[in-house]
Amino acid sequence: MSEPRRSRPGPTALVRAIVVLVLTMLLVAGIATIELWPFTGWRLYSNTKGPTSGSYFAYRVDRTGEEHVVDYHDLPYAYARAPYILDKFPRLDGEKRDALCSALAQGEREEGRPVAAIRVYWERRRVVPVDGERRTKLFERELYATCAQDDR
Amino acid sequence: MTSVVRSIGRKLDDVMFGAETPARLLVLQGGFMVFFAARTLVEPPHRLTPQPPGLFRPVPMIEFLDRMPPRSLVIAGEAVVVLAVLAWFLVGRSPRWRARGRRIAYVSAWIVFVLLATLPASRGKIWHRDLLLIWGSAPLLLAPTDASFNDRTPSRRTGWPVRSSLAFLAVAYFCTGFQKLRASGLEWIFSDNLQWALYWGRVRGDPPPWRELAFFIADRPWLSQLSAAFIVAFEVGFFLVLFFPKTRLVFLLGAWAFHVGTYLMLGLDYWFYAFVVTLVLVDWPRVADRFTGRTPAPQPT
Repeated sequence: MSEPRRSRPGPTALVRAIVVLVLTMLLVAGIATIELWPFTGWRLYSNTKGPTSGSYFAYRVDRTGEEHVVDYHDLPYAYARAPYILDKFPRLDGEKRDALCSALAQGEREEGRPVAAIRVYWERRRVVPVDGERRTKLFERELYATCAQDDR
Repeated sequence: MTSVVRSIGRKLDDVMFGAETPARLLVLQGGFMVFFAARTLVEPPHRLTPQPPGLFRPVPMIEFLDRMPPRSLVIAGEAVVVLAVLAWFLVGRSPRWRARGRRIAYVSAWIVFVLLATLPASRGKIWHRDLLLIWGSAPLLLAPTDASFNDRTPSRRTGWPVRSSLAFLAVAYFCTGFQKLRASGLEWIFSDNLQWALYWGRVRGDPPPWRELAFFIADRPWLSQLSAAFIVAFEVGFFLVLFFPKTRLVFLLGAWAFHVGTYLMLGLDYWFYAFVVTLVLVDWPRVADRFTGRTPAPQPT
C-alpha cells in the first residue's frame, strides 16, 4: 500500500544542498557586488544621479575633416551597446581600443558613410528640462583619442 | 534556546522547502517554458550577429570565445529553445513519456536559454534583463516532472521547487535594493537623486514612452522622494513574501507599478520581471478553482 501523498518526502539532502548552495552564492554575489554573470552584484541605478553626466562619445571624421557623432540608432542592432564599451575606453589596452575603433568605422562604412578617422571625446553635459522635453547642454569637451585612421 | 533554534530552523525549512500542490508546480513549469520561448522570440539573440569582434566582451561563462558565435548557430539555439518548449507541452499528453520527456525538455530549454542570454550579456555592460527569469526558473531543473493539474494535494515533494523559486526572486530583489543603499545610502531616497534620474531618462536611446509623467514626478521633490522610498522599500522588503504570504498581493501590485513605471518613465524594458513575479507569487490553480467553482485545495501550511 502506498503512502498518502501528503507525507511524501520533500527534496533529497543532495537537492537541498544544491539549492541552498546556489542561493547562497547568489546572495553573496549580490551583497559583495561580485560580477560573474549570471551571478551579479545587482547594481541597477544604485549610484545617485545629478544634473550632469559625463561620457565618451565617438565621432566619425569624413573626408573633408568634418565631425559627425556616431549615432547608434543608424547602425545595426549589434552596435546598440557599443557606447558602454566606449565608456571604458581609458581602461582598454591598445589592441582593444583599435578593435573598438575599427568596429565603429566598419559599421559607419557599411552604412555608406565615409570614415577618415574616428575621434573619441570626453564630454560632460547638463540636463535641462524645457517644456516637457529633455535637452542637454554640453559644457566640457576634450579630445581623448583619434583612431581607425584611413591613411589613403 | 535549542528549541528556539530548532523552531527557526523548521520555519526556514518550511519557507524554502514547504508543501504546495502539484498543480501549482505544473503551472510554474509551463509558465517558465512559455517565458523562455517568448523571450527568445521577442528579442532573438541572432539580431546581435554578425558583430565586429571589437564590440564583443564575453562574460566569464563564454570567455573562451573571441567573437559572437555565427548567426546560424545562434538561430539553431533559438530553435532548440522553442522546440523544447513545444515538446514539453506535447509530451505532457503521454502518461508514459510525461515525466522523462518534460525533464529533458525543461533542462534543455533552460540550458540553451542561458547560453543564448550570455550573448546580449557580452556587450560591455552587465545584462540583468534575463536574470530574474533564469534564477526564478533554476530550482525547477531538479523538480519532479510528473505533476498533474488535477492534483490539488499539497506536498513537500512538489512544493519545494515553488518555494525555492520564490526564495531566488526574493534574494534578487533584496540585493537590488541593498546595492542602492550600499552605494548611495539613504541619499538615494532623501535627495534629488530620482528627480535627476527622471529628467535624464535613459542617457542614451529613445525617449521613454511617457516622459510627461516622469517630469510630473521630477518637478515635485516630495513625490520624487516618495517614489524613491517606494522603490527601495519594495526591493529590500520583497523577502517578506517568503514569511508572510498575505503580503504577496501587495508585492505583486508593487512589482507591476515599479516595472511599468520604469518602462513608461525611463524606457527600461523589464516586463519579464513583472511576468515572472506574477507567475511565481500567485497560486494560479487556486485562482482558477475560484472561478470554476471547484473546491479549493487546503491552504499549504
